[in-house]
Amino acid sequence: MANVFEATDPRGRRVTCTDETWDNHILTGHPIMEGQEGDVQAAIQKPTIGIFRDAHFEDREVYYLLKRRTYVKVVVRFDGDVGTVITAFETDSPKRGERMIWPVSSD
Amino acid sequence: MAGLERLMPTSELKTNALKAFRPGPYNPLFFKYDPVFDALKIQIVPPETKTIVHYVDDYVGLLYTPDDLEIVGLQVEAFEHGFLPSHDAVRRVWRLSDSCELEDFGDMILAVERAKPEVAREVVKATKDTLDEPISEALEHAYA
Repeated sequence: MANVFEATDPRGRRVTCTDETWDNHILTGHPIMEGQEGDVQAAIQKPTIGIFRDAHFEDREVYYLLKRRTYVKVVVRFDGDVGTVITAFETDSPKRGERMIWPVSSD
Repeated sequence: MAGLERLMPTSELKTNALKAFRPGPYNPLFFKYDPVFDALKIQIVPPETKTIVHYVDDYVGLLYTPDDLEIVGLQVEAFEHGFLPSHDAVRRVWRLSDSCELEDFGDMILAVERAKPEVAREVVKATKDTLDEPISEALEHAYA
């Protein structure tokens, strides 16, 4: 199983996206993502605003990248410090219940 | 959630495609369940259609086409993990559609096909409180 890309997020955590995930989960589920591998990678490397914890799964973290009228949303499952992309799609809105985990406020 | 803005108001989305849709053998609803992401998509357009997700709560997103802003379906996230356990009626029909107890493969396919519209209807009923009334009514019509 080859990787479509590897990326390092702002906390230094490594995230990979396999070709199986890209072809069988991302493209088949969300055809709008065709050709957007670079945006998915950029979302992980330089997420808009920050990194969020998924609303329902403690081991999933969420990255958004602001485009012109939408965000690219990337969902990553972490096992320790190593993450794997499980899906990515375009959305126009954040999901209720997600909470920002990075950067952490010092207040 | 602080920081990220909603880029599209729900009021801008259109329901003409849902209202015009007449489900039938030549006009099926399209289902896709992703077991890794744990999300169910139910839509009135073929799976290769490009769509954007517009969240209405922490489980449900409307799917719309970017060119004309027409709502064409629903995406339910954490479907087995969180949505089913809190919606008994959906769980019952989903388990039926997911059943492997039928020995004949043809019977199983038929059972799944028959259960799909019921799953769609129950999902719409379950999400009714979170959707604006015109959208909820248009989805009920399309998934009838």
